[in-house]
Amino acid sequence: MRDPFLVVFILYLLLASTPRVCSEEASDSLYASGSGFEEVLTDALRCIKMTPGDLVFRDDYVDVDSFRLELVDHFMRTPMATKSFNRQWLSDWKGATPEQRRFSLPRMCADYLKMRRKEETLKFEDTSVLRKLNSENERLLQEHGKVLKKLPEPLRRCVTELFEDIVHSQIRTARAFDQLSDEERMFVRENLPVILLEDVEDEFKTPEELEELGDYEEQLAEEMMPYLAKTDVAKIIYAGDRLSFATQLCMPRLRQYLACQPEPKPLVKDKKDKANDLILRLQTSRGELIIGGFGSSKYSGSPAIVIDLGGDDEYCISVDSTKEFASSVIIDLEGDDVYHADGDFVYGSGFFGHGILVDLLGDDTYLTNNFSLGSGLFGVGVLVDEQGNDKYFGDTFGQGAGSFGMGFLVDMEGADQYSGALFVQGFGFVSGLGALIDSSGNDNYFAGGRYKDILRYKDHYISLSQGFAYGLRPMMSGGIGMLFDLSGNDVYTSDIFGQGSSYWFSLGTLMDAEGNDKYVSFQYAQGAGTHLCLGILEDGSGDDVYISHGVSQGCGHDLALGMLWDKSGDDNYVAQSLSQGAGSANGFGILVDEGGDDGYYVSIKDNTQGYGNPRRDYGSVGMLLDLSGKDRYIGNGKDSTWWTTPSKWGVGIDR
Amino acid sequence: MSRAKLFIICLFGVFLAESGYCGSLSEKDDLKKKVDSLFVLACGGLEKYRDQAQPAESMLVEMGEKAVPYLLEKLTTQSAREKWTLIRIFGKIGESAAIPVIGRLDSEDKDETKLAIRILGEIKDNRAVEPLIRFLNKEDYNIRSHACESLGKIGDTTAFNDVSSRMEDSVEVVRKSAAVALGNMKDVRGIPFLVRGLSDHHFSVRMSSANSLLEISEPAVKPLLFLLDHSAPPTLHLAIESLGRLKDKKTVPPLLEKLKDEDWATRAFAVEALAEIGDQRGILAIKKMKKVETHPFVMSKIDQCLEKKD
Repeated sequence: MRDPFLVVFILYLLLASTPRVCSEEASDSLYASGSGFEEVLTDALRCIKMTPGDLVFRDDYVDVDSFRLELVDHFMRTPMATKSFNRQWLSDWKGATPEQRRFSLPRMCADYLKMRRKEETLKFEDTSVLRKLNSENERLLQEHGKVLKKLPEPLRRCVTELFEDIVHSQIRTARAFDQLSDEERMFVRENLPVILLEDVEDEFKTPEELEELGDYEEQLAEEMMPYLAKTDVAKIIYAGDRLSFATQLCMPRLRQYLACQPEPKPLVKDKKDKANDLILRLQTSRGELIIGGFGSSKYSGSPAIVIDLGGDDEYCISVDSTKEFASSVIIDLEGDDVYHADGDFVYGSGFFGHGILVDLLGDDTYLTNNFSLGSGLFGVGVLVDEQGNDKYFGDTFGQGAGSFGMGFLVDMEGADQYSGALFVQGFGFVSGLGALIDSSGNDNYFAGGRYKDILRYKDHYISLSQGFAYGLRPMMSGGIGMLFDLSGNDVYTSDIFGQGSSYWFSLGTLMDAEGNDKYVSFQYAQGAGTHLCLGILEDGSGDDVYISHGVSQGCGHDLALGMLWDKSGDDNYVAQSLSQGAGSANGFGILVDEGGDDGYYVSIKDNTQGYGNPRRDYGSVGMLLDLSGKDRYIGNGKDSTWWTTPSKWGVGIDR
Repeated sequence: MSRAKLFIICLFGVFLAESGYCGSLSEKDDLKKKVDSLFVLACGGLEKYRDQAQPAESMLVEMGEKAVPYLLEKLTTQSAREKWTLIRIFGKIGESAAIPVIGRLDSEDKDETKLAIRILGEIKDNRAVEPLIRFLNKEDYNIRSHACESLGKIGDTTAFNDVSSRMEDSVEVVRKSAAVALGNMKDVRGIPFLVRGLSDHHFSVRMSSANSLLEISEPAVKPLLFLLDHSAPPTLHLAIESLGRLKDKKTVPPLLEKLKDEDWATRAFAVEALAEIGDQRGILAIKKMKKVETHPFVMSKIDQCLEKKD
């Protein structure tokens, strides 16, 4: 019976093998919107004695490490094509079926994580490995066959197939570490989270203590590097994708089952389980398999599979730390649910394994700590929330965060609230990709407020979130962070580093396709690249407001690209310094507004609205290009005017 | 242990104590600790302690030669902030640090070599010229680039031939550093290299070459004038800009011709150059032009220039 799905799967494999790294053709057609951008860009560059061919970086300013992504290098060499990444992704998303949009993201994004140094690509292997799983399946049937047979067929198939794929993903994930000894793998497992986690107490430490801590973490990273380089990320992603795909296959069956208005009989004997409205509860070699009924249920422990048919449920799940390569799938079909985290690494979290969480209906609340809600650290984590006004709370690394794996949070409908402290809401770290995709609704994104930015300020917090990507300078190149909000009037709030920005050989992008949106941040935000990387904030339609203090709104610092691109609407841009088309330390900072009557306001004219500062005996490039509309300025610009600033090199054109 | 052995050990201990060796060890430890903790502050990595960065740096500079051995231990740092701090401190300590830093050029750690090269550029000691020239042909382009930069900062023209040959380097980062170095050397032999640099395909080399021609000054006028009729943008625009900045009145007539150019950018830069020179013929021509010019960029340049003159 499974064959038709295998055929679909294989067809998908073929589709997935098409290279997705944006081609030159894609970048050539980047400006084919009829806006005349290419012409304006060429003119602007002539004003500062440059040509479009000058807007290039090198990908080898420092020695290329083993973690460098080919995609990042591609855009370093052709930074002006970076925007085509969003276009390519959006086209893939639009071209996908509804189920693929939710569950095939690891596959859609797999090629983005192609390493520059590794010749092999992220090819998805054939499914022959599934045959090796027979023994585990047989064991399941031997132990629980009688009970399983009593289940309605759609449920039975979902449970058994998900079980099979959990086993499969665990075996496959383990193989990703074949080149590492047990000690090496444990070292990485214990210490990579240490590098990512911050301590609120840091602000009270002495310089010596902090120096010692910094040295310790640097030493850890150095020690880990060779082990990390031996990790086969492709295998991890393949395994996670397989589990995600298996979940995808379950969904139509479950929907169909629900449509028949079933009344499943409980197969549990324990009174407590009956009271908890459980239909099935089995202990297996890979953890518990649980099916909950239409009433309210409470779930705890570390189940491998939960399928809940309805009711307002309460989850208090923890990860079983004794099980390495553990994977889990939770599917909740209806109800206003509350997900409490009992520790880290839960709810769509893959940590040396994979986690899938699907919640179809209801207004849900997710209360978590670290590494949760679409988090993939040496794993793949997928959280899909289909409908309802949802609230997501977390601390560090979540809500679409990935390193040595991928993390996705996909919310299809509703007015949602996302709140986290650090590395959240579309965050990509080394060899990883993190994406938050919100398809519709008026949403609110908040990142920061917990860990002080002790390097720079007394009263600001690091965010490093909301379409942000990060590398460990100078040892390990970074990943890809994506936040895509496809419609609705949204509010984004971050503090230091956020909203389409990046650090160290990485790509951070925030794309909001529609709606009247508000972006508030303090520094390194709203299309900002800092230190050899690419950061882009792209907003489609709507009357938007952008507020930041500095190094924002199209600012590239230190051989980096920062681009803010607003396609239409009457927008307002407010900043203090080094913003609105500002290049610093040989970076390129570009603000493009294609249409609408806009307002550009800065408090320091000397380094904004078309500004580039000198460094390394030459300069940087800052451009503010407003392609149409009646615009107002406080600063260097003026409506229907071309201007240059006494900097190296800054230019503005208002048409 | 035999009594004889014990006696010899005790005797050795007394000898160390008498010779002050133990004292000097702890003195060294203290000094190292002091340098280390001042260095942490000097790097100014934390907002809370930023006001202590400058005083700490000054103290390290004052310690001079004494601090050098401990600062040298830090040359392997990976931190950009620490690298800049070391460059500043060694630069201020000056000549007394030159030989120890030269000693680190041949380190097996490539990053240490790079940092030592950069520091020698700040120290500006001629003794570093010969050792630095050796690095102009290294495989790592950053090493070649830093060597060019530092040789330029030292400004000793004995390195001219080696540095000018780097204007042909395959990597634009090196060519840019070579162009800057030739400007620092202020040697007329650099003119042909720099004129060629104005046509480089990377803007950093073009811009640096233009700046370096200005350093060489008057001898650069003639070749730049030649470019007015024999080059295309952006080289032409850089030649116009450079002539303006050189303020040589004999360049006014050819620049006046450029006010009539079909290319709006050429007209705009000619306006800027003539205004920079300040000759009345140029100013009058710009005023006349204001009545007929329609291109927004040229108009903005005319307004800017006339505003300045008023």
